[in-house]
Parts: sequence; C-alpha cells; structure tokens
Amino acid sequence: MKKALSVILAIALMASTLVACGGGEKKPDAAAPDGAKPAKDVLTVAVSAEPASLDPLGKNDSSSSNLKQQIFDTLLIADGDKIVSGVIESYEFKDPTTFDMKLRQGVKFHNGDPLTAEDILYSLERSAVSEFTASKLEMVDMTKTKILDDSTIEIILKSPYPMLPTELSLIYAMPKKLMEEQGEKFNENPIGTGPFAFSTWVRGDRIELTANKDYWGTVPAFNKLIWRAITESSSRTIEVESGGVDIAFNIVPSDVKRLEENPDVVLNRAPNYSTAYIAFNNNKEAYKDIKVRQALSYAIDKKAIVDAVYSGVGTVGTGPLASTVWGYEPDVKQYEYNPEKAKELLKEAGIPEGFEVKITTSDSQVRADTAEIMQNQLNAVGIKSTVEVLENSTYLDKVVEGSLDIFILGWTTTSGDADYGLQPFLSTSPSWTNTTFYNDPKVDDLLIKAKTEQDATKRKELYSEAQKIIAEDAPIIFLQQGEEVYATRNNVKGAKVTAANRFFLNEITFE
Amino acid sequence: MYKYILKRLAMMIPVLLGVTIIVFSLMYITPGDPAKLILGETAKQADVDSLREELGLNDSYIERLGAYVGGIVFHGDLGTSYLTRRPVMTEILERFPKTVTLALLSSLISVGLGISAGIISATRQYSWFDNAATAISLVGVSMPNFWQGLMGIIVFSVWLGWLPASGSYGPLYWILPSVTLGTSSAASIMRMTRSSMLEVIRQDYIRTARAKGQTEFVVIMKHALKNALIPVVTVVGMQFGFMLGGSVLMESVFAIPGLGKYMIDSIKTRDFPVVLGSVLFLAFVFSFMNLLVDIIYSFIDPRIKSQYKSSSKAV
Repeated sequence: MKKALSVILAIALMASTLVACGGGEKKPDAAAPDGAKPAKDVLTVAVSAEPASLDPLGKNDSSSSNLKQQIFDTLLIADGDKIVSGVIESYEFKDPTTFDMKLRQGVKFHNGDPLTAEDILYSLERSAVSEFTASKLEMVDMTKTKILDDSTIEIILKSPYPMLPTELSLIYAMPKKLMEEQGEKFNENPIGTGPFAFSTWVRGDRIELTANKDYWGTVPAFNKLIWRAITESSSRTIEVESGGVDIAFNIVPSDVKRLEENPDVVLNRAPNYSTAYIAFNNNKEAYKDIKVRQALSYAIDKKAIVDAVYSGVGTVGTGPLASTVWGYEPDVKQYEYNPEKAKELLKEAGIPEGFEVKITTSDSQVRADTAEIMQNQLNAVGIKSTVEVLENSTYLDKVVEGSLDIFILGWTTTSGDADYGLQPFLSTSPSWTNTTFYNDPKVDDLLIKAKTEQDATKRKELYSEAQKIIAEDAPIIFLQQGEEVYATRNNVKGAKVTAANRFFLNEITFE
Repeated sequence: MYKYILKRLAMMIPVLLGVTIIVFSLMYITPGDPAKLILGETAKQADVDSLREELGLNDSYIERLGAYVGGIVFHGDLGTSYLTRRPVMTEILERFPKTVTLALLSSLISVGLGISAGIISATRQYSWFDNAATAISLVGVSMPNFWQGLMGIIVFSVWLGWLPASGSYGPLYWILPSVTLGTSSAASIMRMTRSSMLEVIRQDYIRTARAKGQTEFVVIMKHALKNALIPVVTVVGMQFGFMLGGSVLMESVFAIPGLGKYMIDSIKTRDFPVVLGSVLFLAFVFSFMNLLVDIIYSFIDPRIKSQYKSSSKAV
C-alpha cells in the first residue's frame, strides 16, 4: 500500500513539474520556418545578450541601450556625427552656459499621457544622480536648470560644455508621474514614448514589444517586435540562415564568410565607434623610451591580424580614434609594418638584442588569437614574448592595478565625440580607464582646452593636435577599427545601424 | 522509514550551510569587481565607487557573510541580483522549469533507450546487435554534446527545415535538445545496464527460474532486471542531478533560458548573490535527488528497506 502510494506521489510530482513547465507556454508567432503567413506582422531580431534591465536610469551597455531605445526616446538622437532632433525638437546655446531646448508637441507616452516639460526636467534630474548616467550630466547645474514655459526647458551649465547635445542623445525621456508612483516597479513594465511599447519579458529568452501606432516619428509597418537573446554566436547565425529570426546582430568574424555566401541572407556592415588596441604599461621602465614604443608599433603587422583574426571585419586602426568619431584626424604618424625599422629603433634604444615581454589577454577568442600572432611577430624582431590568457574579470582587475606588461583591450567612444575618445582614455585624469598610464602634460592641456572650446573648428584643431602627439608618442598600437556586422533575411528592407550602435527598427519594412 | 527520511532532511542543513560558506568565501576571494563589470570598461571612478557603496561591497567579509546567512535564515531571502536588481529567488524560479523540462525529457529518452538496449545487448551477448550497440554507445560517450547539437541543428533545421533551430516555445523546440542530451547519457546507461545484467543472468537463481519453466521474458524482466537495476538507478539518478544543475552547453547552443547558463553568465559578471543563490538552490535539489534515489533503492531491493528501518530505530 505504502509502496503504491509513494509511486503515485512520485508520478504526481513529475507530472505537476511537467505541467508547470509546459503550461502557459506560447510559441511566439515568429518567422518560424513553418510559419507561412500572408503578410509579415512580426519582426524577430536576435541579439547576443539579454539587457540587464529596462530601467531608463540603469545599466547602459549596448545590449541594454539597444532595447531601451526602442521603448524610450532619447532627448536628442545621434545619427552618424550629426545630432538630430528627438523629443526635443530644437535647441540653442543662448550663451556658452545657457542651453534652451524646445519640446516637440503632441508626443505621447504609451499609456496615452502627454510628454510635458515637467517630464523632461524630471528625466534630467534623475539622470544626473544615477551612477549609470551621472557622468553625462556632470557639467549641468541642476539647481539652476528650469522650465521656462510649457514647451521650453533651460539648462544652465557649470562651465561651457559644447558636447551637451551629444550627452543629451544618451538621456531618456521618462514619465515623471508614473515613475514617482511606481518606484522600482516601473522597470518591470516600463512606459516610454518610443516607437515600441513594452509587452512581456520572458527572462533569459525574449522580450516582446508592440508597435506604437501613435509614434511621432516613423510608425512601424508591423505590429510586433520580438527581441531574442541568443548568446551562442553560431546559433544566432543559424537562426537567421534558417529563417527563425529576421535580423541577427553581433555576427562574429568567423561566421562572416558563410553568411556572405548565403543567398537568403544579406550581410551588412556598419563602421562603429569601437577600436581595438594593443597597450603597453607606460609606467614600466621598458616602455619609457619612445624608440621602444615605436619599435613595437612597427613590429606588429596589423593588417595580417585584421585579415586573419577579424576575418576582414573592420579596418586597420589609423590612430587613437575611430574614423567615425567627431574630431578624428587621419593625418597622424602611421606605423606601416616594418620589422627592419623596428630592429633599427631597438638598436638606437640601446637594446639590439631585444627584451622579454609578456602579452596578457582576456579569454575572448579574437584577443587570444591576436596575442598568438603578435607573439610570432615580436619574436621576429628579437623581442621574446610569452602569452597569458586570463578570465575576463580577473584580466580587467590586473589591467587596472597596472601589473601587466603588454595587453589587448578595446575602447568605444560611446558619445561619438573626440572628448570621450581621448580624455578618460589617454589623459592623466584620475580614472581607472587610462589603463596604459600614458601621461603627457601637453595632451592633457589640449584636451582640457578643447572640452570648453565653443568654436567647433577650433575644437577640432585642438583634438587634431592631441591625436598627432599621441600617435607620435605611440603609447598604444592602434590595431583595428570596429564594425557592427549584422545579417538580415533578404525580405527585410531598411535596416540601419548607426556608428553609435543604435538600431532604427521602426523604419524596417518587409518585401 | 519516515524517520529515516526526516533524519536525512535534517542532515541537509549542515550541508547547505557548508556550501554557503565555501561558495561565499570562494566568490569573496575571486578577483573581479562587480561594480566595474556592471558599469562597463568605460565607467568613471566616482560612479564605480558609489555603486560599490550601494551594493555593500566595501563591507568586511564577516559583515557580508553574516548579512547573507541572516537574510536566508530570518527572511528566507536569497538576496537581490546586482545586475537586474530583482530578487534572486524570482530569477531562479523563472529559469528552473526550463532546466527541469530538459532534464526530464532527456532522462526519459536516455532511460528508455539505455535500459532496453542494455538488456538486449546482455541477453544476446556478442551478437551483431550487441556489437553495434556497444560501438554506437562508445561513439555516443565520446562525442561532445555541443558538437552533436550543432550538427543536429545544421541537418534538421538548416538543411531539412523540419525542426526549429533554437528557443523553447513548444514541443517541436524540445526535440533536438532533449534527443541530443538524452542519447549521449543513454550511452552510459546502456553500458551500465549491460554489464550489470551480464553479472546477474549468470547467477544460480536465474538458472533455477529457467529450470522451473518460466518463459525467458519473465526470467529476464522479472527476476534478472530488478536485481540488475541498483547500479543503473545510481547512474540515472546522478545524471538527472547533473542535468538539473543545468546542461550549460545545451542551454547555450539551443538558447534555452535555463538555470545552468544563468549561473555561468552570473559568474562572468560577478553577480555574487545570483551565483550563491543558484548554487545553494542546486545543492538543495541535488541532496533531495540523492535522497529520492535512496528511497527508490528500497523499492527495488527489500533488503535495503529493512536496513533503513533498523537504522531509523537506532536513532
């Protein structure tokens, strides 16, 4: 009897788990291979990582902001190196520290509430104190920033800051009333003014959004957007090949050739703000001599690495900034691969026999492969090198504490402006982001001046000069300029990714 | 029997406490600053500092461990994820059903295939079937899961277009992952069943059963199989436990939002509360599975049941 009872209980337990798992499970009517639908009503995209949260004040890495930009409008929009109007229709600097902006009329939140000047002020106030966005508004004097009339907001700056419009392209318009009422709960069901309204989030799997038919910009031509997080890169590629998704983002170099050859898929490339570089720890005695640094720059065949490791994705780096960034200067000292010159420079530096180095990298395949090729190239000029591969966070820790020798990293100028591309990264500012410990008072000075220079031409000149000095100094090897590579099914038209890695999915149509 | 179960359940408490302290200490000494990882490679120092303060990362080891254990004991709270700022328990429970589904489906496949192939192989030792099954299972054991999975996707999704490539949105979606995972563990179950059966069918009582005129089917299924099952149940139980720990590779390849993948992702981002919570949760599930296996033993082998009885009397 007992035995029978236990068996029944066990079966019941198993059955209930199964029901719990299967129950309520709805298959998203995606572009499934069997889904022969009359008109495409759903756009399914695959990205490489799930957003951390949809909190408009929260983490702003690309996987989070790509999705948040579908739900929320940013105050202004960065499109290439232009700043175009968003929910802020027009703006002007009345004087170097006073910035007036006019709100677009008739913009509504997904719940029907109108977007008001109050909401914009609230968005600025909240963004100014969130650790994820505060740095973008650190030059804004929030105590003096105010609403002038129903549609005008005046921002007062602590000191002149010409990059403000760029920073505002990273601040979301949020609903004051709702967020105050709901607190933390708001992020479970976020409401913005963007082209898509949040519908559901199946954690770890997908997020579903519906088209905002009242959108002030281009109203999506389809009703539903499904956002799938597929971390495994080959699975993402396969999904777009088999038609399981309409667009797959973050295609890795090793899948590029295969997708290019597939007639059902279009492979798109968009140069972005990212660069990959090889860094030396400029604090170490070995790298204090400019000749040694330049020798290293000549010793590395960057093109060979871009071709072999990046499968031709992106281009060889030409300087500290990506060419898409505002203020980029192409006319700086270039280091064409020249092992003879490298040996010569080492001789001039008094170490003709070379020296020993350790190349450290994170466990990313691309970086590990780069390190291996570098090792051979360095050995060829007499620099004996070893390679060490570390788990990513351990690696970052070591980079920051300055215990490494030569290492491989990347930098993305998220704002698209030379200031962010150079200041936190290659100036002596007390920040952990200057990982190479490069320190040149002249560069520091130029960057500080440029930051507050109102005249765009003059600003550009200052950045050009800084880039020339940095390139001459060779504190890092400018390896590669990145591209966002994404694949679309060939019936998908109008897909566009900007250099800031922003997707305009509302503009997509199906053929 | 019930006393025995209660005693075993009580014994889980020190196990879980030990697991908590060990995992907590390991995470504590692991390099990597969660605040920097959350804010990204390009974050400013001031932002990193304020996030560290907010997450309580500046507190001492004892303070943090105390707060964590206290939270569990007094509030049944596994903490809040650093990354998503949601309760860890909610995050786990949202993912666990997918992991359970995959584990159950693949176990059904592996047990069904493994035991039946094992019985046939043992009763027809050195026949063509036995040789073929042994060879196939050797390949099954040696072939990496993720590779098998990717091959399956290429053949059945890309070339033939019969099955969806990834996701977990309906019965069709589960076929590839569970067959992939199931067949590879079927191999070891088959080998275990075969060797265990071979041992049993040579014993005297089987000859006696045959001499009594029982049909071969009854001899094998009733007399032999039951006694051969003990080691098989151990293997099945262990494999099921491991699958519950999340088949990380399968979950990655097939984009199934399960617990295993979540845990690995959380280790990468140093989301301590999630890692701790998931390990603790799994330790609990694993201990529970072990208990279940022990209980199943007692149904298969009455001698074990009487041992349980006497041991619980001794308490």
